[in-house]
Parts: sequence; C-alpha cells; structure tokens
Amino acid sequence: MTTVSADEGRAFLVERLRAVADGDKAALREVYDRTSAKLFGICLRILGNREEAEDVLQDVYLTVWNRADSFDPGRASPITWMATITRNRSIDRLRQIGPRAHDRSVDEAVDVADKNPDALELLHRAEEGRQLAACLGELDERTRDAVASAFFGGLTYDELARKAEVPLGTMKSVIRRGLMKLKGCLSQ
Amino acid sequence: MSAPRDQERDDADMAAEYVLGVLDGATRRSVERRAAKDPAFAAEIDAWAERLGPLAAAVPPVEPLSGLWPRIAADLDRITRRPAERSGPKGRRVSAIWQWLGIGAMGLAAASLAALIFVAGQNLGAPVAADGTLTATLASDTGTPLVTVVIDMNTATATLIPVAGAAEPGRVPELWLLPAGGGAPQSLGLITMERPLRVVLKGGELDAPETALAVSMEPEGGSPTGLPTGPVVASGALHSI
Repeated sequence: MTTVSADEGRAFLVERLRAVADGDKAALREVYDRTSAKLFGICLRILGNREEAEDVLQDVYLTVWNRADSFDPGRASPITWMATITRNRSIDRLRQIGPRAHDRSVDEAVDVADKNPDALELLHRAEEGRQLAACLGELDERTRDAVASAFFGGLTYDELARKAEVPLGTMKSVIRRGLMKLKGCLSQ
Repeated sequence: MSAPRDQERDDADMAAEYVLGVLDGATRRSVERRAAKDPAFAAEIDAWAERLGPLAAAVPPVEPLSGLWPRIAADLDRITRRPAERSGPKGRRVSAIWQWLGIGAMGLAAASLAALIFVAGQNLGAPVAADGTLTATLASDTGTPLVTVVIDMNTATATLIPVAGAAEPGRVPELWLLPAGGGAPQSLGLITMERPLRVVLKGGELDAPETALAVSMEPEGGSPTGLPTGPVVASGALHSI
C-alpha cells in the first residue's frame, strides 16, 4: 500500500513540476504543500535555526521555480532532486554563516540536529532505505557515526575533527574509507 | 611533503565528499565548476546523491511557518517569467529579473530626467536601514550561484565573493541595487568576477528581503544610460542574518 502511494506521489510531483516549468504558479503551490515539511526538516537539521532554515527554504522554492525545466524524471525522483537542491543551499548557507553563528543550545532544533540514530532508525523502516541501512550497518560504529554526522550536520572535515577531538587527517581517512566501503556495498 | 598530500587527493572521491557535505565553500565551488564542464563527474555526483538520498528522505518532516508561502508568492510575482520568453529563441539566457528591469526602464524613459535625479538624490540622503548584517546570493536564472554578498550595515560596505565566472566579450559586470519600492535600479559601480572585492554603498534603503541586487553585463566603462542595458547575469534578494 505504501509503495503505491509513494508511486502516486512521485507521478503527481513529476506532473506538477512540468506545469511549474511552464510557469504555473498554482502548481508550485501544490508542490510546496506536498514537500515543504520534508524539505524544511532537511534545512532545519543542517542549519539548526528556524529563521535561517526558512530563508533557505524560500530560496529553494525559487530555485525549483527557475530550474523546473531542467528536472529530468529519468535521472532522479522529484523528491531526491528537490532534496539535493535543499541540501546544497543549506550547506552553502551554513558555510556563509559558520556553524557557530547561532547558539544551537538555545534553539529547540538542536535536539533534532545532533541526534542521528533516529534517522538511521527511520532508514531501516523505509523501503528504499533498507539497502543503505544494511550497508551503513556493515561499517564500524565510529565510521558510521562520522558519516551520519557529516551528512546530517553538513559539517566540514575540519569541524567534524574538532567535534570528535581527533586529528583532521584521521577524520578524513575514516570518512573516505567509509564512503569507499559504502559504494562497494551498495553496488552489490 | 607533497607526496602524501597527492596521495590523499588520489584517494579522495570528490563527488562523494561533495554530496556528503564535508567540503569547505571554496572546494564546493571548484567541484561545481568541474561538474559544469565534466559530464562524467556530474554523473558521479548524481550517483552519490542517489546513494545517500534515503538518508535525506529519512529526516523527520517539520512544518514551516504558514507565513512562508506568501513570501515565496511575493518573490514569484517579482520575477515572473513571461510565457513568450519560453517559446523565444534559446540563445542567450536572459534572467527573469531582467524582464522586470526592462519594463521598469521603459517606464522610466517616460519620466522626466529631473524627476529621476530627484528620486536618486532622495535615496542617497536616506539613512541605511538598520544595524546588522545582510546577505544575498546572486544566482543566474538557472539557479547557479555566481556571487555571494555580505553587507555590513554598520560600515555600509558590501563584500562580494564571486563563486563562478561570468564573461561576455567586450562587456564588464556592473552591480545594481533594486530598491524595495520597485523604483529605478541604482548603480553600485563596476565590479570584477575575478576576485572578492568590497563595495561601499553610497546610500539607498536596504530593506531585506524587499531589496535585491543584480549584476548586468555593460559596455566598458559601465552603463551609458545609468540604467542596466545589458543582460542581467545574476540577481538575488537581500536577507538579514
């Protein structure tokens, strides 16, 4: 049942994005209604601050508006395409303002932003996430944590190394080895 | 000294690191430039986005404020593309905001020069809105960021950091302030896309997110009319931090 509705959701978004590419504002509103909570969750997790996350989300939908004609449903699912734009915009904003530009401890978002296991947990449950979850499960705990906090936090190698209190070179090799293992595991 | 460094570079999968989000800003820009020129590399980035996509999908949704859509809708009204533009020749890309500027400039041609000078003088005398910092990402109409701008309201200086090149033979980039009320674009001077630079804002109301900045390509020496005449290659609204 969930698979059917996911497919329907995808077809709906593909069709609506096509209308957006033709300049249909109402279609963008429908895309927004379907996707904004998902994409806002991504912004918030990376930026850890509602105001920044909302500014980025605003940019994301303007980018979707401008680039809908370059979306190719044969290459990516609509939600993956939009999530990629969202992540890139969020990471770029984080690089501009710096990870300490806002005090994460006063923001309710911190709790979400720093806890990765719940997302890994969700990954296990989602149909398309199972293989990635299994492959992440094959990594040792330290590597898995490093990869997950890199992805969810949008932090640079340098910031990750400082946070984990390990030398920069160590953090780089842990993550690079983790990525190579993941690639190998996922191609099986 | 250089051997281990090269070794390290060989081991790095830049496409994976880009998607994972561990690269600093400058390295991200160089990855994007490479991806723009190298389709195989761009495909590797797509493949990694696909591999790690389920992680993004697993992030719990959070409802944004209900006021966000009206902000987006207002931006859309400012940048709306005209249907004719899409069916037109697909040669040079003309930014959506340029269409908007074009209309503004035509309207202004009807106004008297005296009125124009009066408006400009008023703006120059206006105090800069508030303390703090504003930022803007000036992007092309395809969404590619070209310039990052950080404005220090206390010193009224803007720091421009080009992130991608824009070149047009025989033309130079000029920076414009698009005032909040929709008035005439004000030139902030010629800029370069080669390196970061500082621009002193001579005045003008800065009212995020209503005020926007744009870069147009003008003849050597700058726009001869005091209004943008060339294609707008990048534009973006100001945001307060």
